[in-house]
Amino acid sequence: MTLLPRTIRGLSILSATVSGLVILILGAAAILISHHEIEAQMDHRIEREMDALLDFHASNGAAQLAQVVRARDGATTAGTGYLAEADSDGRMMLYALADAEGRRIAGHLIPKMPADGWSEFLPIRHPDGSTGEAQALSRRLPDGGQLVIAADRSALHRSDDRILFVVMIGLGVILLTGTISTIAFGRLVRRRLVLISGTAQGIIEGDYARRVPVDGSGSEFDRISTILNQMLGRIEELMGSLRQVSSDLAHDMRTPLGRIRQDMERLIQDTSDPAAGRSAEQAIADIDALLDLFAGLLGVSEVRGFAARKRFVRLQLADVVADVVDAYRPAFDDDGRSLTAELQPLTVRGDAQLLKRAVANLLENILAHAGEGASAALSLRQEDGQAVLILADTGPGVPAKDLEKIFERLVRLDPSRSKGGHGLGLSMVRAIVRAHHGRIRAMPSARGMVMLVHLPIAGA
Amino acid sequence: MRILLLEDDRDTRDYLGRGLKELGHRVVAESDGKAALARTLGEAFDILILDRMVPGLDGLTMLRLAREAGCQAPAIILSAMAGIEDRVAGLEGGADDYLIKPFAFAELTARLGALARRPPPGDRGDFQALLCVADIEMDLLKRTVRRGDRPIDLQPREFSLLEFLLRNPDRPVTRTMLLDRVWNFGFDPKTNIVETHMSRLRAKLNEGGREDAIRTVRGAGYMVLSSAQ
Repeated sequence: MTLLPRTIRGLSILSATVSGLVILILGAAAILISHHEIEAQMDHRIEREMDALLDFHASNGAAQLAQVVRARDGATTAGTGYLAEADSDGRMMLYALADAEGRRIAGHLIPKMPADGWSEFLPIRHPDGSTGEAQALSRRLPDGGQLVIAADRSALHRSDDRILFVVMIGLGVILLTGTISTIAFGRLVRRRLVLISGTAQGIIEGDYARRVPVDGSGSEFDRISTILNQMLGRIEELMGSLRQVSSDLAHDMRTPLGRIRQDMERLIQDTSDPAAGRSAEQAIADIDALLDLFAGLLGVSEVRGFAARKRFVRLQLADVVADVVDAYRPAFDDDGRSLTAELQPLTVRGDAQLLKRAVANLLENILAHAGEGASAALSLRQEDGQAVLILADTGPGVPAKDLEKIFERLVRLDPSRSKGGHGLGLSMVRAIVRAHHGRIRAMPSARGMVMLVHLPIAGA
Repeated sequence: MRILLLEDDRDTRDYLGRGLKELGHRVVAESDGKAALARTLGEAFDILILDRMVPGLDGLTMLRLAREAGCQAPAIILSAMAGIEDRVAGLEGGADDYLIKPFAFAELTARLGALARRPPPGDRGDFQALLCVADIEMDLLKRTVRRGDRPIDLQPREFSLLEFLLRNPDRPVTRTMLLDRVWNFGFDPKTNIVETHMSRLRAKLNEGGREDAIRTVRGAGYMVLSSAQ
C-alpha cells in the first residue's frame, strides 16, 4: 500500500496522470487505425483507377488516354480536372503518362517518374507551387509507355493532424480539470480541516462550548464533524457535572462548617471559661484553614477553566506588578530581606486581580522558602514581542528534578509538610499565567532560583 | 439602620438577626426571594443583606429586579458560592459588596458600617476635600496629612490606607476590607501585608511619643476614634 500516495495532492496527480495516459493511448490507436484505413482506401482507389485507365488504353489507344489523363489532371482546359478540384485543400489524385522512350506526355505535377509498382512517398507539386508527397502506383502500358496514378498524402497527414489535435485538446482538458480539481479539492479539505483544528485549538484554550461547524451538505466532513461534536458535547457534559459536583460539595461543606463557626463565635462571646474560649478560637482557625484549602483548590480549577478570559481588558502590567511589589516590600524589609523591581511599561490583556494574585503568590513563595536575608529582584521587560517577568531570588533554590513539580497542585517539597500553606500557590500562578496565554518556568540560577513568566503583549 | 435580611438557612438567619438587633438595628428577615422583593418595593431599607441561593428568586435576580424598580439601598451579598467568577458576577450584578460564607460576624458588621456611609451613586455633592478625625487632618486635593500641627509624610499606599480609616471613624475596618478597598486584591494573601503597612503608618502618625492614633480591635480590625479618650 506504500506505493499509493497518501496525500490528496498525490492522489489527484496520480489520477490525472492515468487519465492522461489513457487519452494518449486512445489517441495513438485512433491515429494508427484511421491512418491505416485511409491508406488502404487510397491504395484501393488508385488500383481501381489504374484498372479503369488501362482498360481505356486497351480499347481507345494511347492518344485518347493522354487526353483523359490531361483532363483529369486539370492541366489543360479549366473545369475538367474534377478530381484535381475535388479537394479544396489540395489535390487528391495525380496522374502522369510517359511514352515508351520515357518522354512525358501528360502530368506535370509529378516531377520524376517513379519506378514500376508502388511508391510510398513520391515527391509531387501542388498547383499552387508547394511540394508534397503522394502514394503512387506506376504501371507499364502494353506499348511500353508508363502510367502513374498517385494519391496526395496530405489528406492522410491532415487526418493524422486532426486526430492528434483532438487528442491534445483532450489531454489538455484532462490535465487542466485535474489541476483545478486537485486545487479545489485540496481547498475544500483544508477549509474543513481548518474548521476542525480551530475548534480543537479553542477547546485546548478553554472554550469548551466550541463546536465544529456543520454546513448541512451531508458530506463526509459533515458526518465526522457531527460525530466530533457529539463527543465534545459529551465531554462538556461530563466536565459540567464534575464542576457541579465540586461546587455542590463546596457549598454543602461550607454550610455546616459555617454553622460550626457561628457556634464557636457564639461560644466565645458567651463563655466565661478562658480555656473553652481558646479552644473555640483554635477551632475557628482550623475551620478557616479548611475552607481556605477548599477555596484554593476550587480557585485553581476555576482559573484552569479560563472562565476569567471573557473579562480580560487591556491593562498596564507594570502598574499591576508595582501595586503588588509596593504591598510586599515592607514584609520583605521586616525580615531583613530586600525586594527590588525594575519595571518597563507594557500593555497586556488580562484580569488585574488575577495577575496581582499571581505576582503575590510568587513573592509569598520567596518569603516562605527563600530564608532570612535572601533578596529578590523583579524585572519586567519586553523580549521578542513578549512581556517577560523575571523574579530572581537568592534562596536555596529547588533541586533540578523538582523544578516542574513545584507548579503542580498540593505539591510541597518539604516531606514533613510541616511548613504552612497547601502547595497551591504556584499551581495557581501557573493556572493564571496560562489563562493569560502565557507560560512560566522555574530555573536554577547561580545565586538561587529564577522564575520566568512570559505573557503576550496586547496589540494596539 | 433598617436592614432587610434575605437568608433561607434558619440558623444563620436567627444568628444574624439576633446579632444585628443587639447592635441596635431594625431587621426584617425573609427566607424567600419573592417575599423579599415585595418587601423592598413596599418599604424603604438602609441596607440589604442577601443570600444568593434562596427559594423563590435567587438573591442576585431579586437585587436586579429591586434595582430596576428604583431601590437604591446598598446591598451586600452573602454566599457560599465562593468562586472567583461568582464574586465577580455578584459585584457586576449590582451588589456593593460580596461576603463569602462562612464569615466572622464582625466582618459583616464592619462592611455594613462602611456601606451605609457610602454616598449614593452619582452623588458627588458632599465630596469632602478635607477629612478631619480627632487631631488628624487629611487634605485630599493637596494629598497632605497633618497630625496636630505636624505634617506627616506618607507613601501613596499609606495615604489611601489612612484615608479609608478616616472615612470610617469610630468603626472597625477589617483586614479583608482593606485588602479589597485599598489594595484592590480581591483575594487573601498569606502574608500580613495589611499589618506591615499599618505598623509603618502608625509609626509615622505616632512619631514624637503621641498616643496611638489607630486602635486595633481584637478579632475585628482597626479603628480611628473621633474623640481622644
